[in-house]
Formats: sequence, C-alpha cells, structure tokens
Amino acid sequence: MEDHRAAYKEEAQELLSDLESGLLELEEKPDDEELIARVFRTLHTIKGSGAMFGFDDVAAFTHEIEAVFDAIRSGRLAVTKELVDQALAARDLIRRMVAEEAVDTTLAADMMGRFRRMLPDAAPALAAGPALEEGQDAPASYHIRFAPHADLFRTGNSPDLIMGELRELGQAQIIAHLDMVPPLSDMRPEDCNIRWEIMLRTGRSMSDIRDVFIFAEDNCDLEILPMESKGIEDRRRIGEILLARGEISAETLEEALRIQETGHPAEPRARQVAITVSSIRVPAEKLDFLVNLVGELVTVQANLTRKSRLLSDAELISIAEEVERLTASLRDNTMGLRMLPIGATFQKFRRLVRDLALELGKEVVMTTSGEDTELDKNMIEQLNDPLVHIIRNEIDHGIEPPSARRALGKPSHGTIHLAASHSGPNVRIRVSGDGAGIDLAAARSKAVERGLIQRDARPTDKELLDLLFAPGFSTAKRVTDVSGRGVGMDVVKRRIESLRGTVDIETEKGVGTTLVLSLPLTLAIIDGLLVSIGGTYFVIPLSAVEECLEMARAAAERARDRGMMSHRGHLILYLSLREFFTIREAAPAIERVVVSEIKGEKVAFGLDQVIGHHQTVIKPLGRVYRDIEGVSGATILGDGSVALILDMPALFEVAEKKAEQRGEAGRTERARL
Amino acid sequence: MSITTGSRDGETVMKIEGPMSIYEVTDLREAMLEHFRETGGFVLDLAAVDACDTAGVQLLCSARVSARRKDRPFKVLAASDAVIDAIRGIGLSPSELLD
Repeated sequence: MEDHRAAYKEEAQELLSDLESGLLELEEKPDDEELIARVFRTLHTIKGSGAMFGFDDVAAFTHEIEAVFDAIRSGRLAVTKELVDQALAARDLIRRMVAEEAVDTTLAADMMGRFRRMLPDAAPALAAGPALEEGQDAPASYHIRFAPHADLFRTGNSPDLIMGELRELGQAQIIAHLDMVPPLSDMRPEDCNIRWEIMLRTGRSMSDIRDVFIFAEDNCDLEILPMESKGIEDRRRIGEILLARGEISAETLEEALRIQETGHPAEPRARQVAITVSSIRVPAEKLDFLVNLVGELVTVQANLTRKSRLLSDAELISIAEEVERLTASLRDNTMGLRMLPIGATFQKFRRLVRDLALELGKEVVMTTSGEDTELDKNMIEQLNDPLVHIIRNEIDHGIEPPSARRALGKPSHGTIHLAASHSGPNVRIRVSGDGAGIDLAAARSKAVERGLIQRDARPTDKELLDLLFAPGFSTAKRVTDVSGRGVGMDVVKRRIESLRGTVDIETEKGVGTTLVLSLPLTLAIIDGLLVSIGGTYFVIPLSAVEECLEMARAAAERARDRGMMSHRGHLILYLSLREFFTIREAAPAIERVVVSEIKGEKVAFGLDQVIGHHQTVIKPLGRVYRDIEGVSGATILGDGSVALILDMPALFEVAEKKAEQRGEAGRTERARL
Repeated sequence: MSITTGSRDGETVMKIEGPMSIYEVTDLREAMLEHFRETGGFVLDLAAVDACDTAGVQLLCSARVSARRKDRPFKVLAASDAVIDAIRGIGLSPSELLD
C-alpha cells in the first residue's frame, strides 16, 4: 500500500501540474469546452485515485471543485476569473494535502463552502426546457438491468421487440452483453444467453417502463433503478461505473454518449488503433545510479586503453578500442535518459507570471519557444530558482504599469518571452521582457554610491551591466515584496556559474531587457584538458581553454609577481595555480600556461604539464571539500587517482582580486595597452 | 429457410435464404456446425435473409465465438437490412459483429 501511495503522490503531482496549466489556459479561453472537459477529468482522476489510496481529505475536497466543473461542463455555470482564482488556490491546497503537509482545516472547509455556493440549484436548466407533453413528468433517467432466463424465447418473448418499445419511451442506450453466449457446439439455440443493460431517459413513469416487460417479467431478472437527474453528465457517470466494472468497453461507452447527445450513431469508422503504452516510469535515483555506474565504467575503460597502449599488444589495443566505442555509446545513451524537455519548467512559470502581475497591478503575457529543447534533469531542477528570480525581477522592475505603457505607446500588457535553444554543446535560455530596460546612468550613480567604482571611472556598458550581479546591488528605486532588496542577481549569477554556465544581460532603455543563460547540456560529464602540477592532477573544462603556451621559469616568476603576463602584445591577468593551491614540489624549468577567455577577458593560468584531452565524469566533492575555492568537482582517472576539476570563473575572480591587491597598477597598466 | 453452399473466390460460402428466427435456429445450428466441421470456418452470405429475431442474432454470435476460439475465420460477405436491423435493435453494433 505504501508503494501505491507513493505512486499516487507522484501521479497526483503531475495531475496537479496539468490542472494548473489547464486552469491558466481556461482563464484565457473560458469557453473552450475541450479544456473544461480536460480540467474536469483531471479533477475526477485526482479525486478517484485519492479515495482509492486512502487520501480521503483529498477526495472530499476535490469533490466540491469537481462538482463545480461538472456544472460548467453542462453549461449551468460560466468560467469567470474569480472562479479560476479560487480553483488555483484550491489546487495549491490539494497539492499540500497530497504532499501530506499540514493543512489549515478551517481554510479547507471555507474553500469547500465557497465552491458549494458557486453551484446553481439542482437542474434549473430543465425548467427552461421545452414544454412537456401532457401526461409526462420531467424527464428522468433510469438504469435497467434485464437478464432473461434461458426460456424467454420459448415463452414467445422477443427482446428485440422489448427494446423497440423502450426506444419509444424516450432516449434509450442499450448495451447487450454477449459474454454468456457459448460456441455452437455447446449452445441450445432456443435458450436466451444474452443480458442487457439499458440507460433510459424518459418523461414516462416507472410503471410505464415496467409495462414494457409485462410479458417477460416471469422469465427474467429485472431491475429498474431511477437515477438522479442531472442530464447527460450523469449518464457519463453510469458509463464510467459500467466501464470500471468491466461491463462495457470504452468504445461502447463513447458511442453510447454520442448517440445520446446527437441522437444518432457515429458513421462507421475504422477501428481505432489502440495506443500502446510506450513509456515506463523509473525513479530518478535509479537513473542516477546508472549514470554513476557508467561513470565508473568510463574510468575503467580509460585505464584499459592506457594499459593496452603501454603493452602495445595489437590485439589488446583493438579490444580496448572496441570497448571505448561501446562505452562512449553507452554513456551518451545513458545521459540521454536523463534529458528532459524544458517545456514543463516553462509552463510552471505561467502561474508565477500571472500571480505576480496580479499582485503588482500589471498586465503580463508569457510566451515561450523552444520548449522541446532537452536538458539534463538535474540541470533543469537547479535552473528553477534562478529563473524565478529573473522573471520576478523583470515583472517587478522591467514591465511598466499599463497606464505608463500606454503613455509610452507600448501595448498595455507586457510580454515575458522564455526561449530555449541549442547552441553547440550548450543550451541557451533567453528570458526577455519588453519593459523599461536598465537605466545605465542610474546603475552608474548607484555603483559610485556603493563604492563599487570610482567617481571619475568610465566603465563600459558591459562593465556596468556586470556590476548588476555584484552582491547588494539594485537599481530599483523602491523595495517591494517581490524584489529590489539587492539580493537576487548575485545569487543568480553564482548559481548559474556553479552549473558551469554564464549569464549575460542585453538591455536597451525603454525597449526591454534580455538575460541570456548559457548552460552545458549535462552536469555529469565535461570535456576537459588534463593538466598536472607537481604530481597533482587537475581538469580544466575544455570550453574555457583558448590556447596552451610554454614559458621559461624566469618569465614565469615575473608573471607571478606582477599577476600579469604579456600575451600577443597585450597584458593579461596571470594566476599561478602552483601558488594558488600551495603546491610545494619544485617547479619545472619550462612552465606551461593555459590561456582562457572568461567573460570576454583573457586570463592565463600557470601549471607544470598539459597531459591532454580527457572526457570526465564529474563526481561531486564531499561535504568537507565542497567550499574549497577554485574547485568545482572531482573525477577519477584511469589509474585510479583523483583529479580536481577547476572552477574557471572563480579562479578568474581570484586572479582579478590578486591583481587589484597588487595596486591599481594592474588595471591602469592594462588600460594603457 | 434454405441453405446453399457454393464456392466464391476460392472460399466456401454458406448462403442462408429466408427467415432466421427462433423457429429456424435449431436446424440452422445443425447446418452451421456441419459446415464448420467441413470447411473449418464461416464465410456467410446473409443478403437473402428476410427476417431475423434475437435468437437469429444470438446464433450468429455463437458461430462467431466458435470460429474465434479455434482461431478460424468468421466472415459475413453480405447482410440484409433485416439482419442489420435485428443486430442494431438489441443494442449491438453491426460492424463489430459482422466484421
């Protein structure tokens, strides 16, 4: 049962996401019947399976909302903005109930009451119906079970005549059950082996119905049950009951409802091909475990390749190469399993945008593109918070209030556009808003005020924009609940960098702002350059490597002292990794230098040896090592030794800081060149 | 009621003429069982059936069950309005039963 409960919880969360997106769509298209039906079905499933797995509170609560959507489905109630608001709030409460979080019971009861009050009085639609014929009551529905005894035919009764008479009474949906019909060899052809189930909607009385069976009554089991009258929707429920009991097939039910709604059967059509279930649900931990195993396999394979080359045994080398090929393919496929389209994450923000715009009295529309772009599942999870920050910021500070927008000749509603696309080995996510854009002059004076730049400094636009990511920086004139406290953008930047990504801002005053996040496809593997310093191995992400150089010891020492080196006629930042990691082994006569370009600026890193290209499965660092500056992870090499993966943006900052500590000399010197 | 067996497009077709009702079903069953034993399946022509009641429809259902159980063909080449109406009358779908 516990397993089932967990499965229900998972399924319910998915259903709740569907519900949310359905409701948000409904707000825009309140008359879309298909959408209304979808929302209803979702609620119905949440309720039904909730009850089945012991979530009685969920079932009871959802029931009230379902009833309201039932009324909407049958046209007795219209979708209003207020109704959507309530439904969204209810959805949030259901989510809490499903997650078994503490729920304020009076709030829940309140909400249930509100939904109950939304319901129109029972079946008022019927009063407006056509005038009834004399001798008829208001139409009611009946469920008739007719199970003839074997001798029915022999008593002169013919069910086809009985069915004909029922049809004359009103709308009848007749379902014949053939499961008791034996093969020819076993059958007595004069026995009746068929049973019937009839849904009848008629204005005639119960005794009128009973009269139809008057001659058959002694030779059959007959049950006539009046059903509550609420129109076609109830018949759907009967259908669902029958479906659940396996008494009818889904096609029969659909056909039956069609006949009842339109009065005639569907045109004969090709039997629908059953859609086979082609996906299975696998817990994320299993996938993570698989990725880890593949990671270890990659390591062992690297070892095998290395050893085979050492032995220079042609046969072994060819085996090792085959293993390498298979491992690479296995690795790519395994990684592929964790790739998810980013669309679902985008959809989640619809609610955020809606609620925030409402709260701030703004009108904002969210559009998306590239929803199919796939990213590693772990990456998607980690992206959520930064994206929330960025979107909040844009709505709060970027998008102007409707009146201000109209005055500027812009449409009164702002637009937030989320776009994802592949760009080489990276995924690019753009968050654009057509708001006010960033006021660079204001940013500049703020930076001066905060002491981030000198009063007479002439920073470029790009440098100014980079300052927006400095801790404690905010150009907002006022602090709101939403943003403007200066926390946020620096956190965004740090988070994206921890994912080995970058953030860039494009802005035009009065036109809008776009934040561009560039991220690797996966967190689990990087292409790296394996290097060593005094016997310790490091991996530099290949995307950060521009070129490798050699430098004599004397020149290296000079560079280390100045924190600068000359490179193709320019002075660039230099950081000795030997010094940074305090590695004491003697330095070689010729030092190797790796030049990187980070945030548009070149920086050189001094080290001992460049070993070569190395594809690396990233292992997270343990708790003790997690906060070490300049290192983002570790990997295991073919021979079992550990190599640390360098965090290039962090090292760049170290290099910059060191240069500054050595006086402003560095900067001015660079500026001169 | 009369039954004729003939060959059409390489298949042995059983053609039923006249009524298919409670009064005929006992004889019809015998004939169909024999036909099934001989040809191993049912290829039926019901175009000339001029009356059909629930017992007649039930017999067709039963023949279909026999064929299906043995994984043998059950085919209706043609059916008269009387047959179609009888099938529809008791709440079955002609296309489902006669396909």
